[in-house]
Order: sequence, then C-alpha cells, then structure tokens
Amino acid sequence: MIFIVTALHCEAKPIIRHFKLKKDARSTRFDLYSNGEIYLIVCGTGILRCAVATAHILSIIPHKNGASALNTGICGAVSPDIEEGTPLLFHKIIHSETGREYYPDILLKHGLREVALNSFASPVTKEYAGTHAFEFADMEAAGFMEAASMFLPAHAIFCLKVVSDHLEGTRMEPEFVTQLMQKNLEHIEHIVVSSRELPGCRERELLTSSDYRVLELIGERLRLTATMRHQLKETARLYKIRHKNSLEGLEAFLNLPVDSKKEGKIVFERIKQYLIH
Amino acid sequence: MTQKVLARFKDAVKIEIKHYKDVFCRPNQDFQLQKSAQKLILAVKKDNFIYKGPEICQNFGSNNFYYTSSILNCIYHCDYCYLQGMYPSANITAFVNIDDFFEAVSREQRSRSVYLTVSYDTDLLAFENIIPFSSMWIEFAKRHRNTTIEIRTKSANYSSISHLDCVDNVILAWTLSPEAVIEQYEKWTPTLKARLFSIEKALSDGWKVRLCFDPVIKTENYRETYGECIRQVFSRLPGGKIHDVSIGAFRMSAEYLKRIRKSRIDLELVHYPFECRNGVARYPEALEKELVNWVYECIGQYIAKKRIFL
Repeated sequence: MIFIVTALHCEAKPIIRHFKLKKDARSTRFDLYSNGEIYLIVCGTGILRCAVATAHILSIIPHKNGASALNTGICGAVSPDIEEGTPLLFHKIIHSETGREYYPDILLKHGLREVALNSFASPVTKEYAGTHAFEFADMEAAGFMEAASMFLPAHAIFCLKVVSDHLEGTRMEPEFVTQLMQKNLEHIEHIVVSSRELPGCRERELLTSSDYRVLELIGERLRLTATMRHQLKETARLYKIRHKNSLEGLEAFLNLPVDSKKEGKIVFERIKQYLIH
Repeated sequence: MTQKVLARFKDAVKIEIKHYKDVFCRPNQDFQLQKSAQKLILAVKKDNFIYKGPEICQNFGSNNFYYTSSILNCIYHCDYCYLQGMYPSANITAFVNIDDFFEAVSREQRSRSVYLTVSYDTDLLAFENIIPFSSMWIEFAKRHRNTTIEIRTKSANYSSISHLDCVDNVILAWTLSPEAVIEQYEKWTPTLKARLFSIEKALSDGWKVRLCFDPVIKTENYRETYGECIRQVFSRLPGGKIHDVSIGAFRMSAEYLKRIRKSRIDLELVHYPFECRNGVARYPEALEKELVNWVYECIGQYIAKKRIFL
C-alpha cells in the first residue's frame, strides 16, 4: 500500500489516470483518490497543509507494516543547467523556516539523481536564491516528511519531484505541469512498485487461532495468573520459531487433572519444560 | 582523513549532514533492511572517546580495561551480533577525528597502564582498506608503551597491516568459529581457513596473537563441531606461539536481545530460551558451563591452561 501526496490537481491528474484511481469518499477535508492499494491525496499548496493532509490520510486509512508514502509534484531549480522535466529524488529535505532537516532512508535501487531540497513557506525567486544557499525549492516536502515520519519507517518515505522552472516567478499553466508529471510517470511507478517489494517489519503473527485457543484453555484449566499466561504465550511462540511445528503436543496437558492452583502451577512448569526443550 | 575516504568513493552520492545522530539515530529505521544497503557516515565525535570496559566482556586480568569505538557498526552480519540490538541503524559511522581518541587515551595512560580494546563495536581490520584505523592504533601503541591495545577481527585482512613493524603492546585477536557456525551464522565473514591463513602470517611476523572462541554457540552436535574446529586450528597454528585464548558462550544484554527478536522473527539462534541473569541473556547455567568447559578442555590439549581466559 502506498500513500501519494501532491499539492495540486494538475500534478495528480496523470497518476490518477495511470493507476485508475477513483474518488474516495472517506476524506471530506481533502480530495482523496484510491484503488484500494494506492491512495492519493491532494493537499493544496504549503508546508502546513501538506503535513495536515499527510497525517490525515495516514490516520484515516488503516495500513499495515510495509506501507509507504510518496510526495510528488513539481519543484524549482536554481541552476539553469538543470532542465525542466528533470526528475529528482530527495535524500535530504530542509525546512527553511525552522532549519530542521529530514533524511528519507533511500534503500531502493533507482536511476534518479539524488539531491537536497529546501521547503519554503512562500514562493522564492531567483533574486532570493542569489543570497541564500540552496539548489532546489518547493513548498510542501518538509511538511510531508514531518508527518510521514510519525507513521512510517524512514525507508518507506519518498520524495520525488520534477523540475518545472528556474524560480522566474511566472505563473505556471496547469496543462504544462500535468505534462511534466505525465512524462515522469515511469519514475513514480518505479517507486510505487519497488516500495511494495521492500519487506516491512518482519514481526508477524506466528501463533494461529487454534494455538491461541489451546493456550487459553490451558490458562483457564490451570488457573494461571495473567503473568503466567503471558509467559506461556511467549514460550509457545519461541517454541514455534525453533521447532517450526504446531502446538498440538500441548493438548495432552489439557487432560491432566488439576484441582488446585498449586497443582496448576506444577503442570505449568511441566509445560514450560516441554516447550523449552 | 575525510578527503581520503571521499576520494575512495568518487561516484558515491554525498549528503551533508549537521550531526551524525540526525541520520544514525533517526526514529523508525530498519536495521536488517539497512544491512543490505549500508551507508557510510563520516562524523566528528565531540566527547566520550573512551569507555570503561563492560563487565560482560573479558578483561584479561587488567583493572584498567577500556574500550573505544572509532567506528560504529560492522561490514559483517553475524546473526548473534549484539550491534543489531544496540544501535538504531546499521549504517557505518566512522569518526574522522581519530586524533581526539588518541589524545583521550594518551591522557588516561599517563599515570597508569591501560588495556584498551579498539575493535568491539566494529571490525576495524576488515575496514582497514577504507579507513586505516588499525594501522593508526598500532602506530599510537608504538609511541605509548603504557597502553596495551587489542584489535579484534574476523577478517582475513592481515595483509593490510603486514608492512608494519611488530609492536609488543598490540594484540591481534581473531574470533574463530567452526566452519559450520561461520557458514550458518557469520554472514559475509571469511572462512575459518582464510582466518587461519592470516593468523599464520601474523605469527610468523612475530605479532602477539589472541584466539577468541567467543561466542561459543550451542549447536546440535557442538562437541564434534568445536572439537574438530579446535583440532583444525592447532594443526595449522603452533600452540606455543599463541599469546592467549579467550572462551565465552553466547551472551547478550537482555534488552538488545529483545529488540533483535522483534526484527529477526525467523532466526532460531536468537529465539533460544535463554535465561536472563543480571540483565544478561545467556544459556542456562549448566549448559553454559558445559559449552565453555568442552571448548576449554579441547584447547587445553594444545595450550597451557593458564593462558586460557574464561
């Protein structure tokens, strides 16, 4: 599952079309599109709006380990040598107001140029760039990073932008932006596909529902305390990891007569020995 | 130093960072995933250049046992390694201000002799071709006779320091394991044969060599496995020339183990039902004794027992 955040509709349009995303009514605050696997939210311009939208989408859509998030759209380049339409993957995002830096953990293989991006609260111009040190500018990524980092691991957060201008300060036609994004869809798709292949946190459930049933029954029959039940579950989990077989052997302990807590404790110790060895 | 390292990685993407912890200590990192694409962080350490040796480690009879970490993390990926639970990141951090480390040790050893291990939270010799810290520590030891330095490694990279003169107060320590254990649990490390080849060279050049059978891992047929390994080791190495040997069964801070278990759900080794004694996860006492004693008895056939540390 991947969550895509764009500032503008014209940036989102080719993505919505390509992945056949449909309007999703789960968000009434922002425009949300999805196909059940890919979710795209249009946040509007600005760092704060982007942070709010990112936190919003990651809160309202339930997701498991292995989910990722991508902030994409356009950005400005200071150097005229960087051509319009150049796709960039950012390894460092700087919030220009606070100076806070964010570092996505790029573990994916990709063929994109990796650079640093500065996020500004308002549009910046060539003149401003002349007196401040930065190479690329946008108005959202820092907010995205701040919010996404609260929900997802560092390797599952991506920021990919396409150079649209050289900070001339002229108004950009939506069609032009859409075209730029359309041309770079393959890179967005690469992130979407590759991020799925990154394994999530490897913690997964080892005990099946029938294992749980047996453990619960044992807990009740032996009148185990909450701590002992926890110990039993943990020991059973380790047993399964080591022996790779089921907990069927435990059922034999269910037939043992137990008339007091003391007797329960004795059987509990026997079960622990069985699971440890 | 920084420029030299950067020159080695001309094509690498370079990211400027303010402080190494901004990257190394980012929240929510996946150590295991990062291990497959380790990055190198070059940093400056501001303080705490040396630490008192932890109780969990062998002090080889020294009361002034210290350790230092000029590099954090390791290029190898041993399943039993505590670094997986100790650090939030698998990226390698190298502190380029090595002179500050030297200065700190130099101060410490002015009034008393110091025993210092420099390759605990990493494998310095394995990293020598990238950053020559082993050589630099050896040069330091040459000038500071009051300091005994241990450089512990699993590498077969002795050739990277073989041009240096032997220094009496430096101990080159090799961690050895049976080939089956290396294959199963010590990912990316050299074979036992390759390590022995390096040790042979170091011995013949006159270096003090320590052999570390640590950690001893409980395998199904550990008696045969370790017995055969020790026979193999001493058929290649002259026992009389070995400085000393250390033996220790697998043990780890219970806190680190807890973290590792969460990320390595399928790894049988870390899910063994260890006992927690004084905050340290270890094999049950009887088994631990049995493992260590077995290895001790096997080694005792080749080396005077007074030179074996448990």
